[in-house]
Amino acid sequence: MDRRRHGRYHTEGHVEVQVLRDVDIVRASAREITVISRSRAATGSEMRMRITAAGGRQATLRVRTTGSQPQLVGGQLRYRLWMQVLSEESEVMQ
Amino acid sequence: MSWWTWPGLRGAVLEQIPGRLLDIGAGGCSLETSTRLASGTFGFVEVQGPDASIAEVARVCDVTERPGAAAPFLVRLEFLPIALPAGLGASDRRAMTPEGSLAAAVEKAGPSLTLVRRRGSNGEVEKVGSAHGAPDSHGSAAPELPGEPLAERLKK
Repeated sequence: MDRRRHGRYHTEGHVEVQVLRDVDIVRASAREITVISRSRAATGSEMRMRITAAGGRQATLRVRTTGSQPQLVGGQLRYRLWMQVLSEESEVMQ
Repeated sequence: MSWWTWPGLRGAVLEQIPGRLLDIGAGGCSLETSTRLASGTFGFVEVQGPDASIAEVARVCDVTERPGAAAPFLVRLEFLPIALPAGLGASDRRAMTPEGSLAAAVEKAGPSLTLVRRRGSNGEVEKVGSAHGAPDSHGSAAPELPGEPLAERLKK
């Protein structure tokens, strides 16, 4: 059964999906950040990381994965990722 | 005060997954990609066209695996009525692709999509404001809620 309520338009084009994956921050500094993630990351891969803190403070970082290691956290498979902070794209203080 | 000294740090990684757009409507779009995505995954979708680009907060609602295909995953995304956070919208970092007319698709879909840019008559890329008048419109210009992490808002 088609649940779509709106008309569709067939087209072609490049699409980029930015998937948001929560991570637990273990250690952070100006140049390096260590997180626990549900998914692994290839060494050398670059991505953006959204940082939030109490009071509505937010920052978006461009990071590069420098290491990835599987580990068990509470009986669940997780990945410890080491990331190099390449740049800070924005910072919002609210 | 630098971000790494903030108390109660939380993080979310934005993983970029490229794909090819198959169809688009006011409520969502379909694409094929070589990366496996789980149903229920939240993220931002950015569609590049030759004359326009759209960016929406979206959720993966269905994935069909096609073994043997070059892009083995057919992903259907549902656009969510959440404003795109500042700094995560479509950008002009990539040259536009020559296929199709995204502006035509947006025009046909109605005012619900967030059209973020188009080419002017002089060929320059110009910013375009959202036109969200419909009651079920997406990407309304509501400001971000302070103090609430984006991932938490998306889970609601």
